[in-house]
Amino acid sequence: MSLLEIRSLHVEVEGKPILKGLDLTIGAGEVHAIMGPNGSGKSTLANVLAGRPGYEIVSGSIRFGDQDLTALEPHQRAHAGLFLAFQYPTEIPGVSNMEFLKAALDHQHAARGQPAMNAAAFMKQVRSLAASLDLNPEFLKRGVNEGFSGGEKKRNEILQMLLLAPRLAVLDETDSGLDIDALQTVADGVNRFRAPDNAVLMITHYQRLLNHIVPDQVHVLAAGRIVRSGGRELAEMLEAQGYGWIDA
Amino acid sequence: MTGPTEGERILRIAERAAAGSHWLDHRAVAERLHATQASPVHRESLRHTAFDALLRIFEDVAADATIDAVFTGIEQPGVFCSPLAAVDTGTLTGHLLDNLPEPTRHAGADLALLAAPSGRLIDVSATPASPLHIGDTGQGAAVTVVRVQRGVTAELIERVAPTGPRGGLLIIELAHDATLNHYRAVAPGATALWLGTSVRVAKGACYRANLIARGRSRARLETHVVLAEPHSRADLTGASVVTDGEHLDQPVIIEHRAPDTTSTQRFHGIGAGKGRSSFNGRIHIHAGAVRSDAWLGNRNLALHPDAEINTKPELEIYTDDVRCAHGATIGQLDAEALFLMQSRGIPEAAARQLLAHAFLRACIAAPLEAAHAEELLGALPA
Repeated sequence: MSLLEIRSLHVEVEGKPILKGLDLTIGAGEVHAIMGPNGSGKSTLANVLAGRPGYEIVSGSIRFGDQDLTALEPHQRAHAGLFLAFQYPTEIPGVSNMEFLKAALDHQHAARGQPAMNAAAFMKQVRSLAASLDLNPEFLKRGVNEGFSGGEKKRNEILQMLLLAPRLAVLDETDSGLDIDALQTVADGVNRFRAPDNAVLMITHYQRLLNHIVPDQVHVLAAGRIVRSGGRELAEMLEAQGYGWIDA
Repeated sequence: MTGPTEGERILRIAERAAAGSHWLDHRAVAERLHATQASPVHRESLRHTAFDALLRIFEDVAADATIDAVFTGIEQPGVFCSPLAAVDTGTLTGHLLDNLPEPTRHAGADLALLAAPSGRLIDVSATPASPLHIGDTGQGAAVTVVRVQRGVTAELIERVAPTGPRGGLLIIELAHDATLNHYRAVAPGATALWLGTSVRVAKGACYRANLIARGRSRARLETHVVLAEPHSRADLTGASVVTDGEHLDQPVIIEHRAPDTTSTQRFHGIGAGKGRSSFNGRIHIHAGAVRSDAWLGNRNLALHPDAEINTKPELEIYTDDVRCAHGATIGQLDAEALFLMQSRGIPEAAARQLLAHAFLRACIAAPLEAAHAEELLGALPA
């Protein structure tokens, strides 16, 4: 059974149609990349999956495993195993990273009927993940993303993904604003996450991320629909020819 | 038939308290207060707590002045405590009035002096080994003067949880290079409260305050700090929660009277129910107070549709070459932060609570956190 199945999805933002009949199927163990020009609806897709307010599903369906994703609140989507790595992670001054991560993990464990992780084991795991992502452990005591550089925020997103171990991770332009070293660190984190029972949906404008995280399928999104799907060679073609050919 | 005028009521409070007490020149205070009645500034300063209501508090406390303040930590080396009546009463009234704000702006300080049957002086001449505590649980009116002598550092923890109508005045005098860390927690309650704090900071001295409060049936907490000499400094933080049926009015005045003085104010408030809260932060930089540096931030969250929140920063600057900045906001919880938390599996109600707690905790200092933070946090919507 597929992990994510989107059928003929139409979405409006403030009354303006953005997604216009999008179809996408992702199976367990797969990595998909969605590429497309600015304004094609890439981030809208990510936000609709996570349940951000303001994105209205006009028609179509989204199945996540055996559930209707659209019927779930944002936190219930996380409990079901969905994770969105934000394009612009927001800052939450006053709520420490540790407090935030523990609350998130505890709620997810409780929703799945799992026991809460004890504080010592939790700290150990988070510190180890931070070290693997070259994040200074001091950052864990600070407010969520508070005063973090762009690259540190993105690495913090990957830390959350690895800790929460979702079934599907949606990475919304996680490569934007990263220098080459940070890109490699982030990609290493994603590659470590890949497993036969989970999946990754990467949303990106550029091909360079795909040099580090090799996708099983590449889709081109334009004007609210998937207009072409293929293997990694499709991304290379886009890199060589740009998006101009889509309109032709 | 018309009732007594405000002037008559002021005199009556003075007469009642003066009976059998000779520590203060009550008539001088009453006259000073009476003279302010016609001032439009006086009316404006009491926009959120009617003067009539204030008078009623002091009529009540003067009628039943069974003050029950418990001082602990005063029996240690370097700390001396005595009734105000035992100090030189010939100069006391003038000295106290010199330290108080203009009654047109903070009328309650003079009223507290009038209504208090007695007062107490705590003189700190050497750095105490442990904090001074004032546990204020009774009703009535009281005046406390805390003097911190030259170069001494002291910590004062004040707990205000009166069982009846209460008017209290705390006068703090910091000598050269003295430091006072002042922590105060005001408990919620069904009785009216007026509290005044008036601080004078001498050269190189530093006043730090963390003032947390729940609203009460009626509460006005006036704070007045005079940076009287060069290189004096005041850093004030505060957190408050007002919920159903509660009222909290917090006017703060910081006066920069000398060059090279610094003040900061950071107050966070939450309207958690159908109640009324107001904050008025006034920075007054006098002529000649060059290189003054003042900052004021008052942020408020309206977590209930019927919460009434008023905030008014005021700057009055009479010299060039100063740095002065202020910001006041009333808003909702950050929608982006809420969504980030929800997207990680934290249900909306829990996310709201985490954010509101963080907002308050930013202005609750460690000495108040363990014992008193819950009084504020527990009043937030679940």
